[in-house]
Amino acid sequence: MDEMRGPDLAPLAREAHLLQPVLERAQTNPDRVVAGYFEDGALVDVTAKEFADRVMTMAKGLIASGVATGDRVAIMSHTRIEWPLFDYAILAAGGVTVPIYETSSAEQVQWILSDSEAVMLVVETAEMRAIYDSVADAAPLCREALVIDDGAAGELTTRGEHVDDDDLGARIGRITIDDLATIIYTSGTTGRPKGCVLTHGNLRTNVLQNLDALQSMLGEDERSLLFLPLAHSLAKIIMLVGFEYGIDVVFATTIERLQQELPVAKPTMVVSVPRVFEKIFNAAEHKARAEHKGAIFEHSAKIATKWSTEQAEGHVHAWTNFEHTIYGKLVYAKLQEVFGGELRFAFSGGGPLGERLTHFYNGIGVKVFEGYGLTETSPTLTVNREDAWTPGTVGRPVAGTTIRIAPDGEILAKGPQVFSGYWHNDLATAETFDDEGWFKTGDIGVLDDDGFLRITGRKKELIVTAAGKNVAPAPLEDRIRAHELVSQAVVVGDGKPFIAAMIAIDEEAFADWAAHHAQPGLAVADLVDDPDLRAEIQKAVDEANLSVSHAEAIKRFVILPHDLTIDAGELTPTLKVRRAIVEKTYAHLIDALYNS
Amino acid sequence: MEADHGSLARLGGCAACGSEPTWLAEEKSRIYTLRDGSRLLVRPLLASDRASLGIGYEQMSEGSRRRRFFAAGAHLSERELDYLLDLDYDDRYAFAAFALDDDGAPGVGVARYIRDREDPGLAEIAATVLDEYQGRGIGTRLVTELAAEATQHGIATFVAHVLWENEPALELLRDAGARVAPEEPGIARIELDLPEDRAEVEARVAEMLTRITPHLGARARDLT
Repeated sequence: MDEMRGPDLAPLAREAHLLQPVLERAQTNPDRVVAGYFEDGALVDVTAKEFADRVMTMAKGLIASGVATGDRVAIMSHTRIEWPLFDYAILAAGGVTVPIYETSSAEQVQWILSDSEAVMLVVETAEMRAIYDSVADAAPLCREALVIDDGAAGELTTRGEHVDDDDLGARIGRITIDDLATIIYTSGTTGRPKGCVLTHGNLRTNVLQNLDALQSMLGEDERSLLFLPLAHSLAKIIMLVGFEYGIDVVFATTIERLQQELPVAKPTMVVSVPRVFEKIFNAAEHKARAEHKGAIFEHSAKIATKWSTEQAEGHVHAWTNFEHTIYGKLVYAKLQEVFGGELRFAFSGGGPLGERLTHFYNGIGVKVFEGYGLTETSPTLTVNREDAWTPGTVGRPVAGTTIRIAPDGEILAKGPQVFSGYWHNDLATAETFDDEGWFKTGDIGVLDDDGFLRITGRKKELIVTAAGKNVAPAPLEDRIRAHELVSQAVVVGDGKPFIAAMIAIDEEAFADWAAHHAQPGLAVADLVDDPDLRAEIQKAVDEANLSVSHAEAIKRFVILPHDLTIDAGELTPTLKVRRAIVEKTYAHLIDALYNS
Repeated sequence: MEADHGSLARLGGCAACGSEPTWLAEEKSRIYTLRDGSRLLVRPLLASDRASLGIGYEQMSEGSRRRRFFAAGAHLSERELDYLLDLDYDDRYAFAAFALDDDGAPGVGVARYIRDREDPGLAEIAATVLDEYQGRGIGTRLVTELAAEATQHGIATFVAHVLWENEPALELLRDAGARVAPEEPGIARIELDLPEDRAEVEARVAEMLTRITPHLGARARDLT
């Protein structure tokens, strides 16, 4: 399908700003634990009331420091409890939070401060303060930098002692969903990083959209451990979801300490990028091998994946089920312990996790929900959910969101979480929306018959068949190339009725193959139509076709008489494959493929 | 002599064994300190690096191989290795980088230029850095070295073919003043005019490096 709409979404009330859930819970359920952090290795709980009180006193300090409604205040810190405290305090003072990655360079700090015209900066460490000092002259509007490690929170509390509660109340009372909440800088393909302007409405909507998708998984007492940088929109939205729902949001000290802190925090949910899931899997596999249990691990992993795959297909075989139960006690429980023993689900974003790992984790009892979105879209546009879960896809559009696939395959989006533009950059804003107001993601994807989005490629690297089917050639080519006889594969079919492939043979591997097939001394050019050779290559093509839909499958292929050459321009002098030139060189073969 | 043997061998050859153009390796080799404090040896790639080059390729992720070759084969063939090591240090030049502080001082990156057959002032460049060493400025270092060398061989312009998806590399090259134009689906053609001399190359790169933030660097797939 070309377009998919998420479920309906009720519009937000005008005053449904981001502070609302935090302030409400402090009233209705003051003793509920809403956050946690580590002090000397021990977990310290923070209740709803404590959290809100600290936000309020710090907000007063910001007002006393001269932060006016609409002013930008930047935060440069790694993920820690002070991050949301300052974030909410900035919002309560009527301000706009500008996150800066803790690893940013002086130039970038300077650019973000000067472009956003931030009036104040909160940094985590003295080192970051030094970075600011080195560029302070270039950001004259920024009046000061407070250092978290040097007691920035306490300093603000002291400054705010004389600010009236009513003054603060009035500021909060004036906030509407149309007010800016944050400007997040992202680096695009051109020029300096661009500031994505997100309003209270954009983010609050996206919180509710995520919650709607997640609702069925949530129980009374959920705990999450946050370790991704909060300057990244994925971590930020999951944190906001936590404060909205009343999930105990525990802030990890550092990624390096995760191994120690996971068993203490015992999260029921985490949000991460695929790399972390891969690493944990690889570490477990490595450990098993070192203990001479490699075979057991391998088999148990296979069973976990098989069990989950069969479950997704609607029927788990009795034997799979039996083995799954056995390994559950033997292996899966141990793997679970890595996460603290209580993890039930996780969000993955920022890149594809892959079907195999998704099924593996589901098989060991951790449901991973892959989603998709961009900073410009708050970020979530699509996400898998318990009742609509298809590994390998990034799920269906969240409530109130429409995903459309443009004629060239680019994923377009509309929804209340989509930003209205870049900060002070109308040109970039104009480029990112099409004539009908669709946000252009720059990604290529397909919607399956059930409305699940699959990300298949990036801008422009694609083939569009005559039927309008968009095919990303690279994954197909990679799979064919995995065959030892294949040197290069070039998938073609732009404007043609079906997908075809041109395959160049590896001449070294070919010599061996020819010797074994009683064809010694013959060259590839002599055997391009040889049934044995074709049958062998067909295997590689069949293998590649397993990964795609029928419409994208390679229907015919031709074996090229020679490997690609630099002389013909098919390879650049540094050996890069030029698909377009291969197509030109062998145009007559391609014509024959389509006309036979 | 014994003591020198090791370091010379690391430089790519040993005069005592008469194995390689050691003079070249010695004359053109430099040691740099990277942002993270570790030392990087940059010297011309030599025929004796054949094994490292083959192993290095196999250590690259599929993504890195694709960004480098627009294809992701599992290994380099003997023919490809022959070609990649057939250097005359004038029309075909390559620098290799070695992580001196790591066990065995492994080769971690290569950058090469190959002069255009029709236009002698033009050369195609390609560079790659092992995945786990990316984001430390090694690619930039290699290309700087290559650019400085190229200017001495009458090359005025570098051309590179870069996947559009390789945004960090495109951004880096744009920052360096490169012209970027669409070529064929998925691929951008980059043209970069080289400064007149080494000092200017260094200055421009130094300026560029300050613009690359570490967090961007962590994502940056070293160049083309």
